[in-house]
Amino acid sequence: MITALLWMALLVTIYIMTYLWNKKTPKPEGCEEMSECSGCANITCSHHSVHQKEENI
Amino acid sequence: MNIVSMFIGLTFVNNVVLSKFYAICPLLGVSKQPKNALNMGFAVTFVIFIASIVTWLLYYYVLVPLNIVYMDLITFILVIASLVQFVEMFLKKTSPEIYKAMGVYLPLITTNCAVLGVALDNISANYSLLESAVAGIAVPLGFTIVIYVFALIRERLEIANVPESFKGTPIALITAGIMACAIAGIAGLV
Amino acid sequence: MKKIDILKKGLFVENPIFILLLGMCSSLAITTNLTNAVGMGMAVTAVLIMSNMIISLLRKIIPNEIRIPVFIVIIATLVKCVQLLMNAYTPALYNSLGVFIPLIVVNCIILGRAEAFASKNGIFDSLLDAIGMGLGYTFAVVVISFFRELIGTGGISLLNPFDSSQVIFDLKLFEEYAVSLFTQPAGAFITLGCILGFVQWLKIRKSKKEGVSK
Repeated sequence: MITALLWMALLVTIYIMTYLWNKKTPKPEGCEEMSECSGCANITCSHHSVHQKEENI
Repeated sequence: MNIVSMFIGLTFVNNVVLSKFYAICPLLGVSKQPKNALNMGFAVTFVIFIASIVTWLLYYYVLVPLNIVYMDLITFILVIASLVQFVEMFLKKTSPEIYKAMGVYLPLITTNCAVLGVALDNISANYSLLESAVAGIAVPLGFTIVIYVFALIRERLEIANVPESFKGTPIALITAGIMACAIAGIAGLV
Repeated sequence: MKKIDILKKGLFVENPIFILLLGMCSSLAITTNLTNAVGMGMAVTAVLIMSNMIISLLRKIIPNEIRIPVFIVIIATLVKCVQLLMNAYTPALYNSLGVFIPLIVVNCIILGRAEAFASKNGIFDSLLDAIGMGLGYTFAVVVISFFRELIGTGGISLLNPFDSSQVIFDLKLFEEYAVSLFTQPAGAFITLGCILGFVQWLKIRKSKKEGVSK
């Protein structure tokens, strides 16, 4: 039980760290637009409008 | 199991999109231009290959020895999600060219059915590490072939005279259905 | 917005599968028969209700910056619980749904509702939204599986999900004219394509009517 919780805590930390790290890395020039992706509703995708709004604010 | 027959089986007979229904969203979303579809295919192949090896190793060398097999789903989804974030960040920093070509499709596949599906299938089918690696290439290869062919068909559909009600997603799904018939035709091959 | 509207919108106006086109993978895969569709609908609704309520409760604690990773962790945990419960109480259903139970984690409906609704609204509204969306999903998969089973096997049957030996109803209508293509993957795509075509036809008709009345 405790190993499971520790293992999960480790994974969650790794994920959140890589997530924040990736978010802070700016996209290279010419890659900002993803007009192709209008049809997809996958909100974990960093091209999703949810993520775009935050950058504007 | 024979590696070659397994490869053909996973690529064509049990095609990831047309017979297992993984990755329908990217199929419908990113298949309007063949070139983009191909780049998406490369990105998916890359992620699934790494993810299927990493999840296999974690399952048999961490979860099983620690006796926490019930953490498999949580481990896999978190590992895949971090892996995608890491690869995306790595490409952003090191090579903008590759990022421009295929990196833009990486974040799309964080929680794609196909990546998690392949990782879970590798475990439930009791594959060895080599077999998992083969599955990690064969499955996304099948995806790439289907999404590329599908994009070529959709390019023609754009100028076809489709009934108004069927424009867009409905006709795309029916096209996929006809492609699935073709795949079903080789069902007895392996 | 009125409470009843929150509940109603998931069913028709914003039906997750027919209108929003979310969660297509599972809706195509598990609709070979009515029993699977009802079981999957129940599983998705259960996860959706729990995730929406938990996320709504925690919405002020979760840092905005990392909310999406947090949602994924919560949803993955809930799905694993549902998977273990189904393994214990509905073994037949568990076996026939297979990998699509764990794949609820990556179902866009759950994450989508967490982000679009539960992270902004109170617990009761989120509960209603989850019930509405869950029923909308169930309704959609039941419709798809109804046509697939009816055309594919020539009959329609429903088993009790908790005890597969208990048959609720089992009608055999035109078995000799069954088109088995519809139980195969190709049939899933064609059925959903036709239903979406019908939905689009309804939308076009409605907008034309509105245009005339104006």
